[in-house]
Amino acid sequence: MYKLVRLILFLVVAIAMAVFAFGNGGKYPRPTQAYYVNDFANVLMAGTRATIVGEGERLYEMTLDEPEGGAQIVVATFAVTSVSEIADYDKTELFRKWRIGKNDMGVLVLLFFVEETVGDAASLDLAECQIEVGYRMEQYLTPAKLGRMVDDYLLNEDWDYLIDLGVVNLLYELLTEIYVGAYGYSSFNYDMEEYEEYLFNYEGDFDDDPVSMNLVLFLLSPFSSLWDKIGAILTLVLLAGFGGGSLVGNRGGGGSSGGMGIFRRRR
Amino acid sequence: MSKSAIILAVVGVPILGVIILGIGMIFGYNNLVDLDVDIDGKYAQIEVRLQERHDKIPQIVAAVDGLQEHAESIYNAITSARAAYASAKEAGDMDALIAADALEALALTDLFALMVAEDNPNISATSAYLGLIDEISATESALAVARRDYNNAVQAYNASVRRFPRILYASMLGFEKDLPFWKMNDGADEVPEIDFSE
Repeated sequence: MYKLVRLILFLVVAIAMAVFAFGNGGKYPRPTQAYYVNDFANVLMAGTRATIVGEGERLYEMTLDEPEGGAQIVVATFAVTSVSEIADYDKTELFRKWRIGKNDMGVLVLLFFVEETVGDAASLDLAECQIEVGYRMEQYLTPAKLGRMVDDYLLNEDWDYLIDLGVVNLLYELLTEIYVGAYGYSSFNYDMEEYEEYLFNYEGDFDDDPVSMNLVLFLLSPFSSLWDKIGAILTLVLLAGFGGGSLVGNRGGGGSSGGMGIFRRRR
Repeated sequence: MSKSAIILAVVGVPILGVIILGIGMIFGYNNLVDLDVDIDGKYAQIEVRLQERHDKIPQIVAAVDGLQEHAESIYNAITSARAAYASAKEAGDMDALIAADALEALALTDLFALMVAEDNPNISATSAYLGLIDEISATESALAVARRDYNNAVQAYNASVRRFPRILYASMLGFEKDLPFWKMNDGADEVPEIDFSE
């Protein structure tokens, strides 16, 4: 009898965890474990993803205790089959679901990529950029500023050969505006030439899988006890309950937004 | 059954029922208050966004050279819509505000079509000009979200107030049973698409 109960409990826990960890959470996916970068289109280089996460974590840590609240910049990429499919995504809904920024001091950058085929070669090309800012961030990142940043940095023709550089250039400009404009820092310096060199020499193996597979395998294996499994599930549920949806790692600050931001389609 | 048990049942059961009903009413009342307050907040958000749009329109009109001469109908539509908004706001009339919102949205859609026309000689694609388009487009987007949030809040309230047993006491406690939605004509609240980068 005890074995049967144990087996049932184990199955319930395993299924619940599988659903919780790998379910898409409704219309939109859950943010990745890294939170600040969500490269669902799989177009960004590892160095770019590492930079976005590193700068995102640093910004949040530096601003968390400020009266304005902790700022978070989250970047997400999506692959779509056609430009019309982009209309299925609502940046405000996604922002609210991921709860970006403490005290509504969040920024969500969405990049949509469409597959283009030239001869036998297929590639994912940037089709549209959307940016949504939290209620409180609206005063610092106005639509006019955001539009200029996207035109001048993300869509800068110097970066046409590698979208990663445009993405990071946009990120650095957003950081400059936030650090200096919103939090009163004297400056935020960066050098794209240096970054370019760093990117091409990056040898890290940045991994932003939604859930650590080692943990899953351990929990499903016979090496972990029933209490290990239950304890881990409770911990993960509690962690997720306090944050923007990620199981472990970075989490959203609980922010919301009201549709303010920009849409920019690339020709 | 003893006499005291019968008295306890006769007196106690109704009292218990009244207590349960009272507690239920308190929770129901508080819930309706929360929903009502939520609607007020969402309504205020629409007002903020409408005012933002109202303030930005003159800037964008000024940016289009010769709008009054070359696109008189658009200019007149914008002027009438702004006057309608100012009048509705002063009167505090929600229906008039909704109508003025729709008028401003339609006038702006026409203005947008004029502004993003590539061969329009009256516009120049300066960064300040593009910035204005981004500003007004974002405000329209934010207005669409504010309207949707308000309507969702009204829907939640209307559904809650009609549920049993709240329907029995809601109007007695001063709660309206069917709050109006912020209804726009089809397409009037669509955010104009910006497609001129690079």
